[in-house]
Amino acid sequence: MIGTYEVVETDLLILGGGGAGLLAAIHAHDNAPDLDITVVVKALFGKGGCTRLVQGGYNAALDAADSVERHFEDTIKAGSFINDRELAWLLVSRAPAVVDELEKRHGCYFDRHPDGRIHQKAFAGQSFDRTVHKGDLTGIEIMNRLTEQVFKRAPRILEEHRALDLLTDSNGSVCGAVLLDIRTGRFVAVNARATLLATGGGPNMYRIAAAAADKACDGIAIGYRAGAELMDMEMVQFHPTGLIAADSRMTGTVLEEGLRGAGGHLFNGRGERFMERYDAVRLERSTRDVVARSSYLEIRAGRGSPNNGVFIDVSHLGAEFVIRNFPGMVKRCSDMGFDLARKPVEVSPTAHFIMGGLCMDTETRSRLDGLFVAGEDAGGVHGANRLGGNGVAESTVFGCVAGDTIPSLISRLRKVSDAQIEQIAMEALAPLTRNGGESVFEIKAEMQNLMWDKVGLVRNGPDLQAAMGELESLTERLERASIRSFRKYNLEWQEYLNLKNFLLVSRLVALSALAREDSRGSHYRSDFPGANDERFLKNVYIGPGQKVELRPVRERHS
Amino acid sequence: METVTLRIARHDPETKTSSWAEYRVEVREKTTVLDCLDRIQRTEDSSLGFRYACRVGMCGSCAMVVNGRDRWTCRTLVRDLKAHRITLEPLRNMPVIRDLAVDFKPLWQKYRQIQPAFEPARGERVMKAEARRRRERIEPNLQCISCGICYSACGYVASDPQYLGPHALNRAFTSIGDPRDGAGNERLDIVDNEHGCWKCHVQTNCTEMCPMELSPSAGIQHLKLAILRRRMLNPTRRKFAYSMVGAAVAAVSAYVAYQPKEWVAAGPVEALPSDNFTLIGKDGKRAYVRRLAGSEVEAVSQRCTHQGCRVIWNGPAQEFQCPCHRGLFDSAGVPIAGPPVRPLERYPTRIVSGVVEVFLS
Repeated sequence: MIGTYEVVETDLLILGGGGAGLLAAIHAHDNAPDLDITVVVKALFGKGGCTRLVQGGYNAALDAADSVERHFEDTIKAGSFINDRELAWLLVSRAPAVVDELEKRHGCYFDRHPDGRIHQKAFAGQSFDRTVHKGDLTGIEIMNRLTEQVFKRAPRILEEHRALDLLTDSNGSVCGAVLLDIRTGRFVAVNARATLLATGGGPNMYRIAAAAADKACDGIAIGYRAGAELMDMEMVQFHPTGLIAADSRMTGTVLEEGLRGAGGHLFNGRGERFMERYDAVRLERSTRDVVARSSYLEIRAGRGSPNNGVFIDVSHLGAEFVIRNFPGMVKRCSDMGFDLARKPVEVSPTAHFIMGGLCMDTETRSRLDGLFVAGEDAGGVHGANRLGGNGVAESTVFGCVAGDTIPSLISRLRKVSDAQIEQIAMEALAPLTRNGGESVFEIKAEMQNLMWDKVGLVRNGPDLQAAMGELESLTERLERASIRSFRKYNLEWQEYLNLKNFLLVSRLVALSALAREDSRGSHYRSDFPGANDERFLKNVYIGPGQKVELRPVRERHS
Repeated sequence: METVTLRIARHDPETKTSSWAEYRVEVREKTTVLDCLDRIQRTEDSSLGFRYACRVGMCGSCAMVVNGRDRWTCRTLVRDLKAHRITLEPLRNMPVIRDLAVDFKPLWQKYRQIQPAFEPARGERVMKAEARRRRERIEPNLQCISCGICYSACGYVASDPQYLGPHALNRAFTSIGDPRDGAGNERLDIVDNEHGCWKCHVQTNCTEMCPMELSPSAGIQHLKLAILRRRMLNPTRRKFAYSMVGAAVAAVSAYVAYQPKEWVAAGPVEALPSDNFTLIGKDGKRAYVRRLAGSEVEAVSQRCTHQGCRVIWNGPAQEFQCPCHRGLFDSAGVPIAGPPVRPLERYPTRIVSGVVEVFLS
């Protein structure tokens, strides 16, 4: 019934083709040129993933007047002091070298001062202008150059293949994954000596969300199902300035943070600069958690704009300045009929990033033997809130770390079990054989509304409890949903598989949010509005069986 | 709210059959073409195959041929098309996977051929001023998102499957022009042949269609000049005279590539015949214009989509004929015989106080 499937043996299986996956492939190859590497990408190679969507830029302490210590301090402060210190330190201390590597080895070229130094622009929540960029579409430059470097090293590239689940041996060690070739609908079993999860998060389970449409928290869901431990899953970042374009799919896409960094103002529907009431010192340049929540509270209080948002206004900076510094944003808005350079544009908080993820150490090892993790799939680096510009820094830095450490930590090839492969494939095929069930698109829309309303920017105990129940029933409904039975490039089927992961991760988010009875960073409980350091200067961990545990923040790597 | 009809080219890989399907979709002010597809998939026909990822013009996954023109569907508002019928086809010159989703394999194969990966130069350092000059020249062509639009729109790719095409050649140009790169000569060797930069006869479809507003055609002309410069500095390789002829060709090509676009008046509406095309033009740019039912007007390019020769309207036969390679197009500009595979390009028209104007490029 599952049909014949291909079996691939490889040394290093990389799930994900964004900044983390590609740099891991490049570094692993350069460290061990004989290594057989397989890169699996759910979207088109070089196109999917969120590194490509990086707009504003990349934080690195390069200036003589700046320092790695200051970058570290900003990162920890923004994370409300629950970041894993060693991971955060690794991020900030290695970022300058990776920027240098991107330019000198891979051919990126970032914007310059007239004297030739790299230009660094202002982002919010930082004590120094340290965001390296290429105009306002930085990710394009990074991904283009990395894609070519990967081509040159010629690993096996499986494009439009999605990982369904990890393969494990009798000891629980990860030994590869089962993939689905989206184009042919056939399964591929990869038996790998090491597996790196670098699929990126993408909290698209919310009604308004920023990530690319192919993102479905796959890595976190896959890792968790295989038995990995997760942390900080309640920490979902909402970006304050997602474009509102009525009922268009473009709604939720991010207008870059540099607009606020450069001095953009936010107004509510009454024309008030409402950030004065929430953070009188930093105003719009406050961290994302604060600005997004403030906007949300304004909207909920009935002081929003006509389309349930707030206005971002950069017109006072001068149209010429805006057009020169943010050409990508201006063009995008103008295509949709908005004049960003001269008029206020409606924006809404938009689900953007998951700070939580698989626990990892400084060598990118997860808690499962044979499984490594890098980028948004991992937790701990950003704590309760990520600084704008630290996201691409994370994926590239930890991609490099993974590529440097994995070749020396790689183990022997373990045997995979046919029964396990077949079981994973059968589960994926189940909805194709059912008839008369409801549409997955309806279930998706309900989940997105539920998550936005009850597990969103402002949470409370009863709502979270109710959400747990509703997620449970959505999961049951999904298990009865039916799908047209063809296999080749069946997008409805892909949506079903996405939903399976979304619903699992949503439950983990709600469960962690229930456990954290204080407000910290991106997590805000209206029933516990303040930070409670005594009880909650800790991380929330979720292990197998949805076992929730609070443990002190790791000051040192254990 | 109004309703538009989407006519979609369907291809089923299971049965290997192609067909057309029509859907009616309600659109609002901010509805994009992609939104229409999303809605059809969710509410009407879940088997529809199309592709998108970022939905905001950064990934280049959602490009399709919309009413004959290659576009990103995520950033194309339906109302801007000013049409109630919208025909959607997959990108050209690439194999179709399902419906509107194509396989980018040929695009990437050619991209890999030009050895796009940055190779740091060893030893020699470029002077600062020279480095800045070269950097400024490539900068406008750098932010390619590989959406495939230029490759789909290129008539030379259609007629020569081996042609490297604008996407790969543009990268050859930017990597050769990078003052820090050391593999320029090797790449020039790769593009210096009849399936490389010399294939381009500057039809400039790539430049006209590029949503990132890059100019691959200008980049390709720079490649030609770089090759000629290398030959002139090294006269033993080729005859000097040959180089000079080439330089002239390249200069003319570059001039053509940079021709400005403008609205050109074509006389009062009433004066235009409805059963025949009238040739209008300015500064060597020409178009055939005719009146349709009522006061609607259409303008068709005189450039043959095969090699860019000028087509001639044959009234009695109701055909456009191309004298160069005997290409034939019907009165709608659709190729019916000979080498051309793409319809004649159409120019936007408007009527300003009774006078027809055509946007010539």
